Amino acid sequence: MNLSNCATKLAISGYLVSVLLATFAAAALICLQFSGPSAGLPIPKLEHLIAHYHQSQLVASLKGSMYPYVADDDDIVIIENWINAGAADNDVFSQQVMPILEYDCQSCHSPNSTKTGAAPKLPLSNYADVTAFTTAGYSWHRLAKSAHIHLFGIALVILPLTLLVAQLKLHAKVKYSLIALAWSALWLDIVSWWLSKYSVIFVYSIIVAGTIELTLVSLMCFICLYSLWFCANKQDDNQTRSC
Amino acid sequence: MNIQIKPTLTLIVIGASLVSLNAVATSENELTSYSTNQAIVVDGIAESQWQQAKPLLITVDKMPYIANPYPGITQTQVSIRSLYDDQFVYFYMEWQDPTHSLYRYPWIKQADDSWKQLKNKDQTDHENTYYEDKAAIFWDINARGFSKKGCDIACHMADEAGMINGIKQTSAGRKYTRSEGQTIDMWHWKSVRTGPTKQFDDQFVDSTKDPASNRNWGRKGDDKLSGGYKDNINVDKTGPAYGNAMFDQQTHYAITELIPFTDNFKVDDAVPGIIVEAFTGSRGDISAVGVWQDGKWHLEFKRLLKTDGSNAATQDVQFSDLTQPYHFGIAIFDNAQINHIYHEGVLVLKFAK
Repeated sequence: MNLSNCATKLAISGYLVSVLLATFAAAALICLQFSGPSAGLPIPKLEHLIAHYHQSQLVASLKGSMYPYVADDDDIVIIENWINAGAADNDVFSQQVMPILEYDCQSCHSPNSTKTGAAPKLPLSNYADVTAFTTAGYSWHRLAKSAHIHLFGIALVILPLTLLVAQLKLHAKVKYSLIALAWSALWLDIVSWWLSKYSVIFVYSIIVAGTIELTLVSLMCFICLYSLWFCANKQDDNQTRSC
Repeated sequence: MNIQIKPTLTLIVIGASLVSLNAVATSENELTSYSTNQAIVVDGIAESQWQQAKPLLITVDKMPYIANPYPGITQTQVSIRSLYDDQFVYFYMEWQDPTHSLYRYPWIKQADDSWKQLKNKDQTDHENTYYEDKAAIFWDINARGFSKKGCDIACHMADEAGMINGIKQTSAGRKYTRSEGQTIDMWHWKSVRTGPTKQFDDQFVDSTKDPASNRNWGRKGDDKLSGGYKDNINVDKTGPAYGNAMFDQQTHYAITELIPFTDNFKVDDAVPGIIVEAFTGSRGDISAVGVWQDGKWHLEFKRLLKTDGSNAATQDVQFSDLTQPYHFGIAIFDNAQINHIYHEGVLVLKFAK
């Protein structure tokens, strides 16, 4: 492919800008998802990330997106302790956990609820409903679903990006590092999702890998755009001016 | 040198901007009450002194259930301002509502000379057609979680079996607090039932979870000495008990004088369906005038900063420490009995010095 062709440059630039915007949107989503509802800047909180990847979906929701609906932090502790103790259908469930869910959750999480924002397909009406969300981390089903979507999707983004980087006049070590790191970070991120069910350490590796992924994709986009438009030879300049 | 200073300055500017953004974000649910030494006339008209009070703008667009039928609005923006003096706290509240709804259960004369009271209940046996516009403000007294969740802590919707707290209900939901001793002050303005008496219905919510104890569960009226509202219905329940004038949207939408009913009406004439009398006692603590004009309600109201009824501590929020924040929530009822539009989270009133 002749990268000095003006039309090719425009097409590739369109792709790169789109990837950049998508990367910023992904970063914004992560910030919003893991920053909690407190007023102010949406800075992701480690506690929310740990809850999301390492703790049960119920506790992760209570600490995360559902936090504004929880009357008191002590209620989350009660539910967390009950789940950590095995989430049994015992007195703690009926006398402590269920009343919290009745007060804070069931007005929306009920099969017939038509309240604004209701989640009738995610009821929390009884023990069976609740224990569907007490497994640590992602369920295997959810993991498999998320993993294959992310691997296919991000691979399709990284492949053209790394192929472009491979074409650039960069120092070989820089080029190899960018390409190898981009793929490695993706694999580390996805593998850590699976392993974070078992150890909180892998939540940290998700953070590291995710940060590397977002940074590298952005960096490669900027480098490619810069190289396309500002590192061209005189012949390219002439072609650029002509378009 | 410039090269070093510019990035530093840029960082400082960016940092300051972020901090200021943060500051703005934390005050978006905050209403400030400003001190005034000018006399405020509660008349539903915003005199010049209200211009000094910065309004809090709140979008109310959540609903507790989807009623059928429900022809009312599903969202509006509420503007609320506040002033205070040595004795009273004042509020001026406005919201868009395209319909001026005062046609609450009117009696209509039929062709056979009988009378029929218009009703068109929804699936929960509540009215959204022949009712009245209302507004409610919930003030936290000591309810657990209110300062975080707002009114929502008292909202309990029926489950899939129509049960609330294990009791079968036709109603969509009920209000009560979590535990005994926890109460919420409920200021309930009703355009037909308390509008003519220039008051709010001052109520409160406690932890009553059983209709056998109280028909309205945790929702109760403050102590009263006299006054109130009741249906304008005769002993046989076949027609109005009082009134000799036709329903009029401007001046006669509730019976305020107990003139016995005399049937000199024509077919399709309407007579108000409610008798109202001003509350005395704690239930009449809040003076208010609501004016509907050009598709908008203007509601001005005041209450003593500190009330002194025998149960004031549990029934009324007391603005006794003006350095403290007071948490509250707002709901708007468009011609609806219980269905209302509300906001998520909690609002905060702070008194400026």
